[in-house]
Amino acid sequence: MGNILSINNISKAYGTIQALKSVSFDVPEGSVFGILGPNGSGKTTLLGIILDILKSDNGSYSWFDGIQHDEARRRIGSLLETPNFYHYMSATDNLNIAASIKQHGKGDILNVLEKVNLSQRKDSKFRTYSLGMKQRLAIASALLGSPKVLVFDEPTNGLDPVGIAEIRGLIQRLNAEGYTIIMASHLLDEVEKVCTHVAILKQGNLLLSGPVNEVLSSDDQIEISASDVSLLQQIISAMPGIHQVKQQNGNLLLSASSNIHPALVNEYCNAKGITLSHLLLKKKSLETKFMELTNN
Amino acid sequence: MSLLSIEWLKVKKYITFWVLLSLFCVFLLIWNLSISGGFLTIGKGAPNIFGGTKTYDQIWSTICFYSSHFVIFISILVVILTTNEYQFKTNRQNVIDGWQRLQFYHAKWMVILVLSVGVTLFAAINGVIMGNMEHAAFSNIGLNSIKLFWLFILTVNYLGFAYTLSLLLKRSGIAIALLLLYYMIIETIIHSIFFFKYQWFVGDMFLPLQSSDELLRQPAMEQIIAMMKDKPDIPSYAYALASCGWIAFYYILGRWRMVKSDW
Repeated sequence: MGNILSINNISKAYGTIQALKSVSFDVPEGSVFGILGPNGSGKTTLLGIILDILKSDNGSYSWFDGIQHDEARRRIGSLLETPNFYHYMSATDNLNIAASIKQHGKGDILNVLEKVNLSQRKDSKFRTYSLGMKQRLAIASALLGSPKVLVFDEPTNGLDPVGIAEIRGLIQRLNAEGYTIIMASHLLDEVEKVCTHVAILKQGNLLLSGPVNEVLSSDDQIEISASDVSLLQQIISAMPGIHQVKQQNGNLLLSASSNIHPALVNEYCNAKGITLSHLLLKKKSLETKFMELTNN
Repeated sequence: MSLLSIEWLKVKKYITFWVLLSLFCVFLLIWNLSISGGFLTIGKGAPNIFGGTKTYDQIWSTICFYSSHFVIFISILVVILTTNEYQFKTNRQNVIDGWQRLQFYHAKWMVILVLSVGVTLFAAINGVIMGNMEHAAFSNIGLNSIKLFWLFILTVNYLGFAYTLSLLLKRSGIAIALLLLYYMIIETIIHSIFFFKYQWFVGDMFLPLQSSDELLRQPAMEQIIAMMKDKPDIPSYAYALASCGWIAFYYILGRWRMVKSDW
């Protein structure tokens, strides 16, 4: 599979503040790509640049192997920051404008409104919508014409728990339907569940990017326990490939080389005459990794 | 045409758009009918100094001059239509959905041209109504009808000025206030300084709106100015060219702003 989007050395400054510093990465086709970073890290600026709302100072980007940017945007469904619609118009009328600009027919409008559960309010004015409904309308607009790629910028920003759950469910459904999703997010737990790839930004710097499995693989930990924890600690510390052993809540937490699996640990302990009463592979969560990388 | 059809989708259900257009049409018609009906005088039984309405030659001068004063209504409408896009951030959404930045820019220029044609046509209809009421000879309808073309240029100039202000300021309140302040106060003062203090008559060409106002003078004032000593005879087409120069300047400035700046 090729790349949907290639970003090459993009930099952007607002006066003396460097918002992005030579950021480069590729978004593979079919991936769910999370762009993560704390507030002010440059996520929205980056999305603004690749959607031609903002101008980069340096660098370039290409969609779909280099087609015209405006043509590419017509093939992409995007929700950048807040939903942007004409307040005095209904959902249907607003989507009619979006469909006309995207050069799609109007036939899709009812379908996408149905998808986001807004068909009953399709004739209500946008200004009468709740924030959650506005977000859902923005997603409906993004879905017009069944685009190959969806770009979402913090789609649950400002929503109440019910609204967050609605959007969360919708994104998971879209992912299951095969959309490529690029998502700048505060939704670390969702990103962890659905992302295949991730890029982490901090103060305009790209800290890392790549497949989630690779990014997190070296940080797995194994938690074990036995009736005699002191003896277990003494024995396991001597096992080749174990770098560190820490006691934690009556268990031992092992940091190990990537080739050390729970089965090997169990086998080793058995061979030394110790029966494990607890054995657990603990993958370091994306959130933990994110917090460590961004020093929060 | 697809740009214009999308702009039509934006305005066709916008009540403010229809209210302002209606105000323009109704009050301009009332004003014009009041002149031809003899209601507008400077006292009971006083002569009408608002302009002649007996022949088409006079009618076009009168109608186009007063229509030019009502164009400010439409200028405010252009400010509202443009700054709405910034307020709702729909300018960004239009680009995100697939328009090029210049398509957004040109779409509004097309609206300006359509509105200007509309204003000119409405003034022409007013003229024909007035001509019928006054039993003016229809065979002379072409006399002085160049004034209608000057009205078209003036309208494009005013609306282009309002559009440029809106693009630069982005907020409706500030843009409308500055538009009115400039139109009613600032340019009037500068024009008076050029005209009366320094008698630098060509200076009007360097004033964006006044350069077009000079195309359509108050009919009575036109005769007074014609009698002034030392007043060089600057032909109307020179003011028309100056107005077109200003329109080109707005276009280039706005285009540069659209392409280069963040949205």
